[in-house]
Amino acid sequence: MKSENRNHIFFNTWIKKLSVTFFVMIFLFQVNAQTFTAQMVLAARPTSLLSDWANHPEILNYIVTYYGGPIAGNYSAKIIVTFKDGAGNIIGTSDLNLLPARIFASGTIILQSKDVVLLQTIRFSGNVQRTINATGRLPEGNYQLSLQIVDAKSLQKLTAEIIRPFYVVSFQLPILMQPQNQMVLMAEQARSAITFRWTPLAPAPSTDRISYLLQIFEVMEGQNPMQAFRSNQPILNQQVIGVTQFVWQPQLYFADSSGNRKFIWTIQTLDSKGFGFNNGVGDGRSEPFWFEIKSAKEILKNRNE
Amino acid sequence: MNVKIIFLILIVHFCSLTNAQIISADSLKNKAKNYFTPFSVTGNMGMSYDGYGLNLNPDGIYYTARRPWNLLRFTLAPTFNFGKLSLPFNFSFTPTQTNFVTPSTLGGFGSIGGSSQNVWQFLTNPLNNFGVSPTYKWAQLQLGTQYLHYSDLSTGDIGLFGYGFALSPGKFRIKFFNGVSQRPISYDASATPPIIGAYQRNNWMAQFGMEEEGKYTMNLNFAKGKDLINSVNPAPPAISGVLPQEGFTASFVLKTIIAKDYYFNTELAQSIYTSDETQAQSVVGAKDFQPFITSLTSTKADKAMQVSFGRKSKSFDLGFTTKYLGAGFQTVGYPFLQTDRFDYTLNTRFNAWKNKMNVTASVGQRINNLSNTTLQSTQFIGNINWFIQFSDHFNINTNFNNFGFQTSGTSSLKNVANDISINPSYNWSNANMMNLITATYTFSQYTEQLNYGSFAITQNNTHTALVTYVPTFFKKKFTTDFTLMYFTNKIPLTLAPFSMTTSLYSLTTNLSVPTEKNKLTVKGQLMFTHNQTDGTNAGNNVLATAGADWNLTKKLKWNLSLTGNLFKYSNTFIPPNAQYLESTLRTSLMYKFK
Repeated sequence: MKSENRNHIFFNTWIKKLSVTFFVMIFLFQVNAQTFTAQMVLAARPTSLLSDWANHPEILNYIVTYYGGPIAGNYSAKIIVTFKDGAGNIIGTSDLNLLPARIFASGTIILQSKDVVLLQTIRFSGNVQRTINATGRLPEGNYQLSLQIVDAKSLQKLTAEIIRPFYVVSFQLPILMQPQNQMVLMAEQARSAITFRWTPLAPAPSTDRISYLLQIFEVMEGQNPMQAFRSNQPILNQQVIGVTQFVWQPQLYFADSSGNRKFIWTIQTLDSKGFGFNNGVGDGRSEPFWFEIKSAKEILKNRNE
Repeated sequence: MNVKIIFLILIVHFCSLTNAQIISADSLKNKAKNYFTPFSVTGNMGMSYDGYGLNLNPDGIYYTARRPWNLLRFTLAPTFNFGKLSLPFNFSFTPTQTNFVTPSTLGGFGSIGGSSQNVWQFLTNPLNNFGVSPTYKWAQLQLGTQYLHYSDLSTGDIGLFGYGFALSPGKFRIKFFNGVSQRPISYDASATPPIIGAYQRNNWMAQFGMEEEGKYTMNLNFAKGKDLINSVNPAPPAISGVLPQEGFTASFVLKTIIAKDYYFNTELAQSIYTSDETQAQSVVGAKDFQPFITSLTSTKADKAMQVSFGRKSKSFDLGFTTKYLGAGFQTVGYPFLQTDRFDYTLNTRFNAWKNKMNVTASVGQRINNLSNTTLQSTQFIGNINWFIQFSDHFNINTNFNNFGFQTSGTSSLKNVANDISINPSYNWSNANMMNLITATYTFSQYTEQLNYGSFAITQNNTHTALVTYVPTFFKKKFTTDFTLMYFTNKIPLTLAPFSMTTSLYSLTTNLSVPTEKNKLTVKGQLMFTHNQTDGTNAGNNVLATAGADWNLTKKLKWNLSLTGNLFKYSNTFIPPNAQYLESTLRTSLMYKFK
């Protein structure tokens, strides 16, 4: 009987201890869980140039609320960034040894990619890291970005992992086709019409309506083509929409011995807002080509030589 | 104000050079007497003026000005020779900023606001050249504006304002230059639209190598560029995409003749480029290359190479060229280079029939996006030019070009261009005159195909026919020619009438009349073009030019040309009865020293 009582008391004591521990744990967990809440807004098609994310606040907004009161004080935490491929496999994540802690004061703060996606602390897997080292870009494809706040010391999770999908695509600017680089055009034909052609922006953007600016610059006496390109006013700055060909009627005097002899041209690709389609780099201008105008007599003379 | 002071100094300098020429003439006379060559001057100097006018009737925005209203340019390019020491100057400058691709302190064309350029911005404006290159035997000092080509993959496209040297003692080649390739322009939000600006970019380049002319060239090239963050205040906003950048490129060049008529050329290059200097230092990304560049999170490092080899002789060439540019390859010496591609081309040239037939041909392919950072595309490029001189009187030139472009993926595109051109020329003569008649027919087909969405195929056909007649009178001094041209371009439309045909009919004549002793040549051109759209009038254009080339003295030449361009729109154009008249005056006065 005594033995039964002893067992009963022992059992009750353990039940009490376990219950207390359980409730304390739940309490502690709830305290931490309620200490931070977070939301993430991520652009569906951010630039593939990862370092450029820092210059575009519209790419990522991470809204964090810390509920610590005056007694709890500021909180030191880390934001773990994880890149995953379309299937959810991890391709890069924050190195916790390199990741700096962030001090959160009580209240809500909106963090942007420059505050959260600290590239200097993210290690990518072999092939992806090699591509990023060489090009600065994520390869084209579907990805997921996950963010999670952890305690800076214990690394205990303070928020649930938030995952958002995004798609990366890089564009290849048009390549000039015609007139080819350093081509000689016959003045008698060119003074009426010159046909310009270029390849389209590839791949074709599905959301952004783009247009092309055909820009032609005269190379003045004493200038080289690149100097003229970098410093002259264009003699044609023509917007072309939907097609990749333009027939230019120069309406210029081509028989002069000095002027109107050499031209350099390019295509500037514009986005729907009229800005250079920079793809993270440059102002949307393709590598320029130059061409020369010569009379039929001069061309014939050169052929015979 | 400062620019005006510089102009005054330069004009005084300009006058003193005229005196220098007089001294030079005296020196040359002494030379004849004393058999001593102490001093001579070659080269030229002068000035040119372009005036432009545009009248629209009625007023409107249906045509815009395409030249600066006034553009005065000065050229000062004498070379002073003191025995083995030569001192070539290359000054070419204008006070009018016409910058478009690079920023202007005035903003873009039509901008409101902005400010005039200061002295430093004037000197470093790519519009102007202020270069002096004193040369003594194998040593050259390079001062001021210089356009230096070290190699195809390191540096060679841009001009710098600075200082440097090029030494070529024996087989050795040592070059160095330090200067500014991009002038500083501060961000100006008060201008409309705002002037985004640009950081000052400092560059240096160096080359160490060996060369034996006609045998081999071998050198190492280094090119570095760095934007100075503190060179502008305020700096361009980051969101504009104008970021302070830094880049370093190293390349190795080998060009050699491996056997008689056989050559092998190659260049291997590595670039390290930082697209934003304000970002954090990298720990896990691209590696540093100290002491030249420190790696940041925006740093990329990639490679490029080009190889060509083949046979080159008087009547037969055969060569193979290939070029690889990695996606991250970026060099400050070629800022507009399009990378991420692999090209290969096989080209040939041969002469036959005792050099009466000449054929040049090339075929090649370009593959874009080897890095897989975007969808892959391929281009096919093929062309052949075939020239046959049947007799002293008759020849034919035939040219065929094919260009294909195709992308992969779900939103793929395909563009194919085929152009064929036939150009016969025939000449005949009698006792009084020689006649030359040359004709050209070109057919061009351009197909654009979308392999998604509307799956549209657009076929764009162009025909051009041209005949030029050039009579040359043996006993008369004037020359003249007549050209008749027909051009038509047909494009399909998605809506009725489902196609649009644009046609041009053009008639041009030139006349050039020299006076006695050929001191003055008066010349003129008249061109009339009739435009049609789907067979109805779309406007008429008259372009008339009159001008003169006048040799004022043996060394001083004056050119003048005045062009009027009248375009009258058809009645269907809005506003009705619209027309514009463009007038261009071009004149130059050029003095040739020798």
